[in-house]
Amino acid sequence: MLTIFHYLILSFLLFSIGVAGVLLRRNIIIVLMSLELIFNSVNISLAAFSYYLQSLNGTVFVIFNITVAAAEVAIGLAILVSVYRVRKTVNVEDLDEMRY
Amino acid sequence: MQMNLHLMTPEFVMLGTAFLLLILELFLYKGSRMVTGVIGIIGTCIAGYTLIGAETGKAVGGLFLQDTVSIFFKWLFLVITVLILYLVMMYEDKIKNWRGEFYALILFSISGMMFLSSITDFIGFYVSLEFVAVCLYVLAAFTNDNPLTVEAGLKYLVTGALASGFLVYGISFIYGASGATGFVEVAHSLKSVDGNGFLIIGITLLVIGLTFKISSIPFHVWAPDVYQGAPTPVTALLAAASKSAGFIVIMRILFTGLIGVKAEWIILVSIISGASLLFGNLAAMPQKDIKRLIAYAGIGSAGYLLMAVAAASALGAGAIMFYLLTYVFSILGSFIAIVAFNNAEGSDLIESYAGLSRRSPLLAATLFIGLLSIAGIPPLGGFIAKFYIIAAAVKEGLWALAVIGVVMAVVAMYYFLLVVKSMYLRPPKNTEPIKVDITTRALLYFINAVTIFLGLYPGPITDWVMDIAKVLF
Repeated sequence: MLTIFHYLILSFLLFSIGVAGVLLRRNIIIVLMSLELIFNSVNISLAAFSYYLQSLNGTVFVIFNITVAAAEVAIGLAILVSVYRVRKTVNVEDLDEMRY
Repeated sequence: MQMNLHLMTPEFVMLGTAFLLLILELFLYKGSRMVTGVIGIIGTCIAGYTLIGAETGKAVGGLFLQDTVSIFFKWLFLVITVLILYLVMMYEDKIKNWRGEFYALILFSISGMMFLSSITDFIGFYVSLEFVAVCLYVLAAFTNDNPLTVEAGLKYLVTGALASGFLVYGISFIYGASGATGFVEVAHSLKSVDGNGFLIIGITLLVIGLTFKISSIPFHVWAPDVYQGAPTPVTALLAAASKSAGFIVIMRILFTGLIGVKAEWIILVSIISGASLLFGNLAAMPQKDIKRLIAYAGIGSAGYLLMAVAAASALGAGAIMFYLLTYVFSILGSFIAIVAFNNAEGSDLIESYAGLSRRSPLLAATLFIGLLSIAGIPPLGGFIAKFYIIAAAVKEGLWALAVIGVVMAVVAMYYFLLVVKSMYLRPPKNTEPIKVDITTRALLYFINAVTIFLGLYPGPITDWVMDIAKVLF
């Protein structure tokens, strides 16, 4: 029998993988993928709560969240293209022109 | 369901102006876009006109709430818009492509912030917040031939999206604990819930996610790089408008939605406030670039404002509003002076400001008044604001925070006085006077007069702000 906690644990694991990806990976494309993973883990959590509480607000929130995540990553890729044109790299460690 | 869409007239006017500017791009040739800026300012003034005597009430079945606090913040955003659009017109030569879209995006982000100041539901709040954020991501990376700017834009986007992830994960837990997304419904259903694990996780993640907008610890890392690298008008927009928008939503969520469980968040907000005060002010001391210095000082200011949030009283809310009022005028005056100086000299380094008092007394005086008002020197507006914040903290027994606040005010004086020393005491390398045109001059006199007036005669304004802040409780 699946309870709400199974969904929440799945969502937590995906969220942690996403945060670890953002903080640890060097390639910006993988960082953007990890961000997408974070938003999708939240969708699982919202959908699970929505079913568990028998309330529609969570489901509506999921739809908005998908839209927002798509917009955010689209802008991210556009900025990434600009970065690549100017700096010829997609590696986070090379973007260190400004420090302290 | 009551629609009452007329309550949203100012927002619709701003959105309409932004779309008008985009359409106007079809009919204009390459070159100056002063006309776009002027139309933007006129549109903002029309939005202000529709806001005069605006009635209070609820729209769209209670998702949108127009009260005196949201009207105050909308006025603040409109004043910011006029000044920022003027700043863009001064800055225009440095933007090579898509100048018209730059103005339009600023209006879009401001209209998102105006929605944010009235929103009473987590779904609407999240969508408005992301609307603002997406516009700001594009603006921060706008001059995409400059290596510093694209780097700043990418850093802003990655930290911003990570913070949004924390925020929305927190909201999902609060939804799980309360079964509702409206702030009032959440407050109502949390009365019967106590010490719920979901709620504690939710509040922690939510507060951490919100710190991104106001550039306080732990999501402060973007601030120095983005302030330095982004086009200067965008830096001003982030410093003035984005921070104000962050605080109105923090006040709405924490004071309206989660006031019943304030024991769960006061300690967290206090820790964030103390850490931001210490980090922001201490890290500002060795800075060489004035925009970076303002970024670190901004982390410190977020610390002061969070101190008033931790007080969780009407006095604290009023102090936040008065602080933001003085902060907006001081910081935008300083940024107009910074852009005017950069246009003449092409540098933002503090050492290049040497001898500015002899080259342009007005620019030097504006930076002097603006920066010292942020630092909190007595006859200026910033002092009264800090005084009210510390008074609110002391009244609620937050002694440790109040002591850190007073000590850090002295530190802030130190690093801002370094800039003043460079401007007034060092001899200039290049003695050629800097020309400032007549409208900029008039605007700077006006802004300085407001900052001094708010310090010398704050009584009526503070009484008014304290009175409208009662609505939040």
